[in-house]
Amino acid sequence: MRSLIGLGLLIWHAVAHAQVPDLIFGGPGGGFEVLAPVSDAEAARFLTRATFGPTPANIAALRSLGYAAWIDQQLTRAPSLQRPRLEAQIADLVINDEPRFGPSYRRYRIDQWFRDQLTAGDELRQKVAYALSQILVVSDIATLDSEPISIAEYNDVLIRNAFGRYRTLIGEVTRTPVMGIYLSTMRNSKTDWSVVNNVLTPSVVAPDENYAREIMQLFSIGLIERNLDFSPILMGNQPIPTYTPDTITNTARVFTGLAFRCTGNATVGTITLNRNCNCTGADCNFSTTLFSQTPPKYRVDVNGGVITALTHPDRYAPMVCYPRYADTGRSATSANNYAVLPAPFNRKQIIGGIMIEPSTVACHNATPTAERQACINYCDNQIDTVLNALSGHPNVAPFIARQLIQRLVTSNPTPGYIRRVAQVFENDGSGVRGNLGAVVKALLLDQEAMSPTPAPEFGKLREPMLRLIAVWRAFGAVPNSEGLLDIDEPEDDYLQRPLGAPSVFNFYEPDYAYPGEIQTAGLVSPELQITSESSVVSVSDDLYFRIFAGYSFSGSSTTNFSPPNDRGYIPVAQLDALPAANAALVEALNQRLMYGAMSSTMKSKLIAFLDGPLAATDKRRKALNLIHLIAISPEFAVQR
Amino acid sequence: MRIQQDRRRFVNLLCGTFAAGSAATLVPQLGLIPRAMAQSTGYRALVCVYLAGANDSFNLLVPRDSESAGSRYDTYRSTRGGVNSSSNSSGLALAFNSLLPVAPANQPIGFGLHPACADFTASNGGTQAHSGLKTLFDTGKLAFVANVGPLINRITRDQYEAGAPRPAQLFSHNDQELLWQLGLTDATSSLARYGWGGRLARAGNFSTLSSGLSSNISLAGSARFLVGDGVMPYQLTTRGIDLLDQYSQGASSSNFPTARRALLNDLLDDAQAGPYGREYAAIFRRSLSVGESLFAQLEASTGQLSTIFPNNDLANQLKMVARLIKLGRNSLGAQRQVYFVRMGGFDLHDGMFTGGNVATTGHGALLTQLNQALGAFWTAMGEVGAQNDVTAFTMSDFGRTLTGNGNGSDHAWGGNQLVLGGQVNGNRIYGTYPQLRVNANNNAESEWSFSRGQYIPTTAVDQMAATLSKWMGVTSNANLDAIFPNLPNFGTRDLGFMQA
Repeated sequence: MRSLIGLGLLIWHAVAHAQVPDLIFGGPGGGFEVLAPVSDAEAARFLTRATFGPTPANIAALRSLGYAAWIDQQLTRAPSLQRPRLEAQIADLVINDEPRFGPSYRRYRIDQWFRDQLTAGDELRQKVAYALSQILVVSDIATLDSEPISIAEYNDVLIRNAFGRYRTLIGEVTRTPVMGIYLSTMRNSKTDWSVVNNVLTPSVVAPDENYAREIMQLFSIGLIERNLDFSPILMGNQPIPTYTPDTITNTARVFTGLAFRCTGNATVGTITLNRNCNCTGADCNFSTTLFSQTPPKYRVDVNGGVITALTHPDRYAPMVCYPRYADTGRSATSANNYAVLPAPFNRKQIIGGIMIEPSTVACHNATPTAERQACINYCDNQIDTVLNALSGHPNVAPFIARQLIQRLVTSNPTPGYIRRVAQVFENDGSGVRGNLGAVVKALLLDQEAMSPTPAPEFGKLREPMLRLIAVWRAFGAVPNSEGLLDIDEPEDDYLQRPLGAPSVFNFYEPDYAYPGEIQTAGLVSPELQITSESSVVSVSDDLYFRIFAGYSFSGSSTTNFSPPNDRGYIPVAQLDALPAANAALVEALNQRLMYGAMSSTMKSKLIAFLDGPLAATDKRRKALNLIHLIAISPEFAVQR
Repeated sequence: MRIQQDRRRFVNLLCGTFAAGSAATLVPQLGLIPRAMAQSTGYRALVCVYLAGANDSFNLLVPRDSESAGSRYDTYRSTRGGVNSSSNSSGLALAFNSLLPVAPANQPIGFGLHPACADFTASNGGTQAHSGLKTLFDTGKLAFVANVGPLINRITRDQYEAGAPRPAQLFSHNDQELLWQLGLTDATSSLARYGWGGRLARAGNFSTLSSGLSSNISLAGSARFLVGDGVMPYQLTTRGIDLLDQYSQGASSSNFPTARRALLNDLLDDAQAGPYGREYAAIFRRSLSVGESLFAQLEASTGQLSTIFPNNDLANQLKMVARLIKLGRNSLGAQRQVYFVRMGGFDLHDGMFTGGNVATTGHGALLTQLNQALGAFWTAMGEVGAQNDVTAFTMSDFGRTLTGNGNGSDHAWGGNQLVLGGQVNGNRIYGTYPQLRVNANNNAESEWSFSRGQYIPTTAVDQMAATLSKWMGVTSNANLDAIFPNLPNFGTRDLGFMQA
């Protein structure tokens, strides 16, 4: 298999670039591998997928290192975490600026996210973390809108684990308070059973099924059984559901007992946030007050009291189990001595038919000290049992591989492409399952991704928000004098906000098919779900607002620049460094923005525009106008 | 630290200039005449109000006979874990006296609407009193369809347990929303490329206006509901029609707006290598041509209302729908239109009650927005003169469990939907309103529920949709069955909630 792939690569490279020794013999399996890009354009095309966009710097790095070594370097780059910096900024703001209510600090999180995408050295990690944020979705559009620090910490979980193991990632995600609040595992409680008229009777309150459902449907295995290439497994010509309503109910019983932990007072910056736990060690997990207690936020006593967004760190630390509220398969009442419940309520049957047996010790408010840790362990273990089962399920590899390919490379990967990447998910070559770094490397270097002559349906519509970031990166955009790009509600124009999707179903769904040609051909086009008559205009308008930031016109020929104080901008030196001749200018922009793939038709139209109506204008104006026209053009809208 | 100069303010400034001076020179000839085609005369429109996340509709419409033991209300109260209060925070029932009493003409007992459904005054740059859903029900403009949901066939609980055919992926949000929008249950069939609003537009030959404005219009992004064979919905936002900045409106004359616009048009007309670029270009072209045809009329008195809507997202969507109805019906000669609006936040696994006034907090906050948006929309239809020409109705993913999970409810199947309009046979409940019990299994009473009170629907989405489609002019059984392939499986095609 591998040697055939390599042979294909050898042939096309041999034809296209016969003089360049860019292949080596003897990759794993004895085939050929692409070693390094042969041109800036080839490098830029790759970096359009692997990062938020090519820059002169990353093109140079990639060309010098070659593909594999560049990826390997990126895999080991230290993560640029957001939460510590955002926390310090907000700790400063609440003291040195007029204190505001929580939601008004969200803009700092978003601005920092965008700034990081312009400057962070771990650019592959950042891109993958963003892709993961569209699979393991949380959003600060509603309840969480006043929790920017906790959302940033959630993003850091994705950043830290972007190249780690899937099992670790899903474990950390599951225990974040942000996910606990978003999909309501926070304080999710078992059904209490009590003795009524001598009959052991359940209360009508059942565990919340929200997370149990979505972790399976959206975060791990999906709705139907799949082959390694993502094709459905059929029985009698029908797909086979991965789980039943009973599986959901039983899994919901597992995700019970979780709530904020309590670690006592904390100092953030110069601010002390008091938290009195009144307990130590395992006893804290048996506190009846802590289970329902929310760690505090910094409050300023002006204007009747302003609750800021600065939070006690317990508010974003992993949730812990309060066993009295967890479903341990036993009753909650001393009236029957906390006995094991009658079947089927004593056990939980989860995915794969795995059975979770009742706790051997009774877990309630008065559990003896010696048995408390056993209760905590039971609670943690049953959650881990579900996470292990999901992580080990055969669906995970194709389910996650396909979506990562969709986010980075192409909307419609062939079954072979998915299978090859899924195989790496199942075994990275060292026997490790779910090694996301290896998965990313495999999907970026796959023959289908690297082919210079892709099929017409190969590629994807660029995410609208990523068109802006690509333009910014291509021309070295910088923040204003206050250190801000001033982009705080990108969803108004781009219908996207990082970690701010409308629902757990993300900005768009992986199976969305735009009506007409795409749907009829059996293809999908997720990004077209947020592309409309309205959005093409709002995106164009905002791009114009940001591309032209700081530039003003003196008549039709002269373009002046003065750094704007209200938003990030493209420095004038970037424009002045571009070539002056019209054809050369168009080609330079083609290289910068479109990895040299601009059609000859489009090129000649742009040159004619410069030669004709814009003949008498300065280079700055020509460049700005072309950058915007390219940024809204159909050719730039697609990455291939 | 000052943060942001909103780009929109910048745009608004430019729009002001535009509206005051140069509209006539920039906006092409308006298309006033719809394509000639055979269809019934007189304007009619459907407005689908999608309640995303699954509305807990057994707290919207509640049996309200008496509080005594064994009453229908008593069953409701006990199944839902008692009346919610500070001492019963996991209870999901509404207090008997908080329910707004209604007396459906076709029911043996009284019902109650959620306390959010009262008359109200919208205050939003002026004030105006509006009827709420209770008054609209009392006056015969509003009806409910009870326990409705996706079905292939009627199915009893025993048949369900025995594996009889049922829609795929019950209880999953996106899958069930899709089935509501499709009006069929095989999401993999070729017919499922289209939603029932789109298939209706195709079957009824609903015409596109000559401006290019589709008969099917979404205020809430892409919606399969509106897509039909040859019917491509037009999408716009609560801001109305967005015109491209800097290429015509608001452009600096010293930056060659005409030449740049000509080049943009040229680039949009280029052949594209793949399908994604082709669709992007097509959407952009459609945006420019339709937007520039309609912008001026939508902003002028032909597209403005004096009705004061409350300021919430759904109300803003419905206000734009009302303006488009006014423009289409009263000025552009539109005959048939289908609109789609959407309100989120209903997936209340938690926070159904959050303390304070039940009418305006938790679930009540959402229903208040719904009540006020629909109440103002009804007033606006009065202003337009179109109350008898427009029918609004809700769809929602599914009903929710009757039993709670702490302070919310989980995913279920059948639920209640409302229908509002001047030609609705209102003050009635259609279909069979269930007894609200857990583990019901009574074939004689068509009562089938599971352990948490998830009810098997007794009326199909197809029947509700077909009743609305018939009102829109697709009257023959054969044509209705072509739109809704499962419809012949149910005894009644027309549920009777629409006047002829």
